[in-house]
Amino acid sequence: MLNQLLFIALPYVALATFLVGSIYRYLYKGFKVSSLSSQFLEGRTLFFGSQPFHWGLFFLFFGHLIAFLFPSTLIAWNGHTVRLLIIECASFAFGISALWGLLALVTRRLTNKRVQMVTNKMDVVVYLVLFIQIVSGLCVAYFNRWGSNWFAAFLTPYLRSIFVFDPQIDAISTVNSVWLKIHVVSAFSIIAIIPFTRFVHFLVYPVDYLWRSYQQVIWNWDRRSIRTSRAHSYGKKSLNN
Amino acid sequence: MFMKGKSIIKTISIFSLFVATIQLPLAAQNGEATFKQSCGVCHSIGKGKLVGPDLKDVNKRRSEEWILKFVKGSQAFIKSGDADAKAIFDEYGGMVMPDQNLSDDAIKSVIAYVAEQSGGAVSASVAEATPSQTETKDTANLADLILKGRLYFEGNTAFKNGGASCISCHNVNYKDMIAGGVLAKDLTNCYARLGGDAGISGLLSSPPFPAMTQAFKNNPLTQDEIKALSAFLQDVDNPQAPQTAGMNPLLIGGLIGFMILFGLILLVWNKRKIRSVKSDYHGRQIKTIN
Repeated sequence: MLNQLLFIALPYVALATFLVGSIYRYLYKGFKVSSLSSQFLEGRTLFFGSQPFHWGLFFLFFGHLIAFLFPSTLIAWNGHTVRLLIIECASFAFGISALWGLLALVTRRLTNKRVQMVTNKMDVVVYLVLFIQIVSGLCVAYFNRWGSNWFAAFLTPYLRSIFVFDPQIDAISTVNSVWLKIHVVSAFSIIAIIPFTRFVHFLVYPVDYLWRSYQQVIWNWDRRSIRTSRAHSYGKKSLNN
Repeated sequence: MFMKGKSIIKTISIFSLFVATIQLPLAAQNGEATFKQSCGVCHSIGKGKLVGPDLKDVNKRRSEEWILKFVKGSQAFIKSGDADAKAIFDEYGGMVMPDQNLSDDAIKSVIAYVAEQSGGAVSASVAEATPSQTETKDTANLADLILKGRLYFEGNTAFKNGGASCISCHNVNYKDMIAGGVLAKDLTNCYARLGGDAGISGLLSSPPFPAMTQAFKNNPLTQDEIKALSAFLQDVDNPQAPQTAGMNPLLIGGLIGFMILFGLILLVWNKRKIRSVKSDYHGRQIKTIN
């Protein structure tokens, strides 16, 4: 019964809440679809937390997605021992990176008064589920190793069975790894709370920042020099940055 | 938050209803089919031990309640302090019987089937007979076969139907082979434990463990692959084999990877703006005030 609840009911409730909630939030609270950046308030320690955290999660997210979409390719890649070691160590490195980043960000939020002013209750929830998710993921990778391979073998069929509305939970509910079960349950919990937390910002990733041109910030002190300036050509990098 | 409590509850209840309707049509299973699918690989009825005990007359030896508990969660049952369960577990070398996700009715129908089969002549339809290990293998071929098995085990030769390699979940202590997976049981001594070629080929042709069933459901192993793996596992099952599992390279590899990543981040964002544009002015003014 508990298994049905955790591995069938929870995923569907989570996916439904995610879909409905995100659309609602985007339509009715569009300006709140963001993570409420606190970079203006504190930027120096943010860098050492935010960067490792986001790069770690970025690669882990796509790693899981690839295992979900192309399991046989992954198994073929892992066929050679050296390649298996590379992918496992690299994934573990991104996991450590995400954990390091998360701890740095939590420390920053706990110690910086400015950041505390913009902290809300859901941020605490976010930190908690992220901590559970990352630590359980690292433990799965370490204590139940070669996860990249067995993910493709029996977890992908489970996840696919969810999406084709024919859930097959035999494998996941009897697997001999509590860490894996925690990891799966907390993953679906994260999906469920996306619309209610700062997680929404991953839906509106500002991709065009990658190619948009530099923006010039101009202080209008001397009208005359602005009028006659030749520095306004398109896409010129500002000098004070 | 922005979504009213009521509407959240509504959404959730609609979806739980939806989920409940998917769950309802659990097909009634009959004993024979369930036995063949879930039990027959490790248990026989009146043909001796395979991986687990012979189930002949099990209905007379144990109560129905006892069987139900053992089948649904043998480890939990042993931990609850049942002496009989513990004795069986020890007798079979600590081989864990996987928890079967079967309904009470399905298990009862299997018990009824076993009782029926135990009665008279044993039907020919019951799972494979006792192991016959008389097949002789000539040495040159055997070495080849072992190597082939090793390559399959490691994944260096892909399985024909695309199944995942054994090393994903299992470890064996064998020569220079890297540490294997630790999700499932260590296979170093499985050859003897499972009763030789027959036990292994029975298990591999229809794996009774749910995760393994799932992994090989759509990409079963071929007979050649099973033969090679069996030969390899026989070679592995060697009392002189080192008993310590290989080192887990993840922690060291991961930490080195993390340091490289961190270094890269620092390198790429080396020219980031650390101080604000006006921090000089601001500093001067603060100094004047004080």
